[in-house]
Amino acid sequence: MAEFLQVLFTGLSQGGIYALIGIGFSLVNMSTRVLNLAQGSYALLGGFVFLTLATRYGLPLWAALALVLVFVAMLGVVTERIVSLRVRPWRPISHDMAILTTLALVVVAEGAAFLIWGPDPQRGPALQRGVVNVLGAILIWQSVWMLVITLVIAAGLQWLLIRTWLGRSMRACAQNPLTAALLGIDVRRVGMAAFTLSAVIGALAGMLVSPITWLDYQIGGEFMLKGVLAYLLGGELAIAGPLVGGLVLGLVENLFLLFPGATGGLLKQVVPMALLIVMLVWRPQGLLGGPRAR
Amino acid sequence: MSAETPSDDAISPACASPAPSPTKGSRASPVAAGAPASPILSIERLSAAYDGSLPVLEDVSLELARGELVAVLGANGAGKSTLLRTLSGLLPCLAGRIIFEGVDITRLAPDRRVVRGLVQVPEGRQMLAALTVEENLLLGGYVHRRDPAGLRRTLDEVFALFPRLSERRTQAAGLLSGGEQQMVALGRAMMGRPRALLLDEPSFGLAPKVVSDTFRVIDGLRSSGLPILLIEQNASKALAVADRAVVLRAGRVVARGTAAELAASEEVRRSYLGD
Repeated sequence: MAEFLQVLFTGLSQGGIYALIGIGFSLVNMSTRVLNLAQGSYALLGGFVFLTLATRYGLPLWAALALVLVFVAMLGVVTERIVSLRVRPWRPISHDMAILTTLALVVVAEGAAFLIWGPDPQRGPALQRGVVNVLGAILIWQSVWMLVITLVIAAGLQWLLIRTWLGRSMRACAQNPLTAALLGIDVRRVGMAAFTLSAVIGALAGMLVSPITWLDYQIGGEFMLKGVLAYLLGGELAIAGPLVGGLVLGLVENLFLLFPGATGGLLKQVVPMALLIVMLVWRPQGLLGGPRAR
Repeated sequence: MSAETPSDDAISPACASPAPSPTKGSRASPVAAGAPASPILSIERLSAAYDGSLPVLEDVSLELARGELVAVLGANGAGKSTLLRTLSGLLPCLAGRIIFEGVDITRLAPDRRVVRGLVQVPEGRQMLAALTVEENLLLGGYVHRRDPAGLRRTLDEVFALFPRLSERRTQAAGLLSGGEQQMVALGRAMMGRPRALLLDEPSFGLAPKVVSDTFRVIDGLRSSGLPILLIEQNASKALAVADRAVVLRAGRVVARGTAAELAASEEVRRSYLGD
């Protein structure tokens, strides 16, 4: 029982990180139709800059957090500018070019991280050290916070999408960007806001997870894969989709550890990808998806 | 938006209600009393093309006076929709100028033109299908989002004009009938408090009865003083509400005149027969 609870919780809290990355994919994709593969790189760079500021330069966590958020928000804006520099209302974005461009950015971020922080994994400061005992399961405080913050961010974004003008215009762009423009919405500014928001969320994920899984220069690509998985697994609902997708992904990865003889490494990579293939073939609309309403 | 413009009360139910259609006599003086005589929209020698193609629109000039309804007629592929895309900024101009209320908007982004009050009802109604009726309407007022009270008021006016939409306000717009979607499209444009309205094929894909209803609403808007540029294939319906009209063929203006003149013209008939 305690072991099950342990795995269950670990899965959920790790899944929360995948969910955050997946939500970033979702926000950008709904607003601009771009699959921004650099989504995991915000987690990589945000996480590394945070741990550097907090541990090497001894900044208080809130100050480091604020600086990181400003930094990755700028990265988000830069990504948007690079991807849609030549986009005009009559010259829509080329999705193939956009994907390749963001893939190139992943490599650039990885190289930069290697040059700056070297090959060795590093860990950032935790929000709260120590563990808590729940019904015999030992939970790390940091993962409790990870899950809580994920849920708070998801709820906040859901509110933003339904209640604010930015959210409404993002949903309008998701339906039809040309119509949105004809309603007076500055579609490029909406796209930029989506990139910025998703970069900030990605960085939060990187900062939250680094005390647990540590960061190395290659982790951007891993985050990206897990985030895409969460996004595709969940289905169309902008926030609930990747949230559920991420949590399910985290659970699936970890529940396998309960089987006797199962080893973490390989299964953790293979099982999610196999799951993705199964989903894409038999349920391409995702776990929550109905027919695409467009 | 200042209070003295004729478009401000454009959607007050009394003016725009599809009740009794105005008589021919009331239409004789299209320019509202006190309004300046200069056109609100003038299109000067406009040419446009899609990426790499030959010009689809060549040397088109057209003026829309305040309080006037001008119809742009033409067969499929004559360049009508291209003209409207150019006016709303979805397509760049190769040559020529677009002047709206004395300002050159030729190079302005689509959303900035809406901010200035040049609002379009796109062809095929273009519902934001997954959003509710009310959200569609609210987004029509996006440019007035800093004025929530005014927006609420305009929304109430739209609901008064189209009570059906009020009943369906929480439904997804994609689930509405064609006629109801047309109401949303018109109501959404009104939410932007237009100073001039561009209508692209309002009869597109609608049942005859619904087309008639739609044209009654358009006529109501016209008589409330809102300048309208109406792109339409249905020439008889369009000429019945228009003050003036032009006929496009192969991207050029081949005929222009008052609605009555064109209704009697051989040229118009030929255009609609495809030659």
